[in-house]
Amino acid sequence: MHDAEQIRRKLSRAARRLVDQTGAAVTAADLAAAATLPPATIGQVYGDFETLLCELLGQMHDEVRDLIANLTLNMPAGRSRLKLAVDAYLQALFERPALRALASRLRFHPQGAQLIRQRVHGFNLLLQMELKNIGWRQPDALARLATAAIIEIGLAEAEAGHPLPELRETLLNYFDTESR
Amino acid sequence: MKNDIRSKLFSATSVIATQIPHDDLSISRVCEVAGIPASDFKTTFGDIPTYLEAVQQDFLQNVRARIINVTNGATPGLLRIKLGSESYLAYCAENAGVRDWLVAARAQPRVLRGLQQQNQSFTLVLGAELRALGRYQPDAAARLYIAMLNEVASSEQRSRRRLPDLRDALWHFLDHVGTSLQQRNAA
Repeated sequence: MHDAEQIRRKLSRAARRLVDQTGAAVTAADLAAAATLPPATIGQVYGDFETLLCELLGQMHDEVRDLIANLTLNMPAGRSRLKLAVDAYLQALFERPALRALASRLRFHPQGAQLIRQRVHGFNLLLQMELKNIGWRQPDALARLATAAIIEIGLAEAEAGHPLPELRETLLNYFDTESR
Repeated sequence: MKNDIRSKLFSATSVIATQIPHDDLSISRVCEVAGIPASDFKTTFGDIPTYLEAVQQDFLQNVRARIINVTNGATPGLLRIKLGSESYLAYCAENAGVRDWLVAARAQPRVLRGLQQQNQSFTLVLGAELRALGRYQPDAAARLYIAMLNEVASSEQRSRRRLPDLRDALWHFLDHVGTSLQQRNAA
């Protein structure tokens, strides 16, 4: 393995450890110390510290996506799979305060905002597919609105510090209504 | 004097917002388009972030006034909620440039707080309406509906046109949320 790749992995692992332990208020100096590397290394490998954090945010989002995919992999398409995917997604977000904090830190950073948009779009497409599978009329329109509702629930639960079953049930039970 | 400048700027804000993107906002450019001296702007608002907070308050006050005016005398129920929602969307569309500024200005904590307070107010009012309609978990339904309404406003703002499919999906949610069989049984 090349030195540059080894250093990149070392920085990435240290950043993940720090963010998991202390949240998103991590600094470049904290990271350099945790990785036992000179601070200038971050700039040399990533260009800047925020780019490193964006890469980390992307990895954390992808872990949630993979978790949902594995959970629903062997289920037949239908309302049960749709509801399980949405509930599991909300639970995964709730159980990952570091992901939420990092997303909140980076949401106004150009690269971070673009990454969040891409991940939201990916989730939106997943919802569209599930809604299409259950025969929902205008699945693309509802997927957009449901994505907004899911983000709202995620924010509300983060603010409350605990899951909010009423909000989740309200959305999940709505999927049981007749869409035609 | 301060109030005159405020009124003059607020009445010109929609036009200014169509000419100056948020990222290019500066006191000199705003004053140039509004036709006022920079010294008057500085005396009244001080800086651009404070001006944007004032623009947001003016926007929210006007949208509330529009909704109250349009729904005044309407019978409580789903049609009144739709009427209020339509007028909210119409106001956002008519002032898309200003809303562009406010969306971009959400990085300012006080602008974000103003937006959150507006959403909380709308949720409280809508929750009461849905409770009166006998909906299950009306406050939760109201919170989700407001998030969806804002998504429609943002999507229409980006495309600069009405998006009937999104509005239909929103009305479907309003017509059905809190009415499913499981929810009725639980109630």
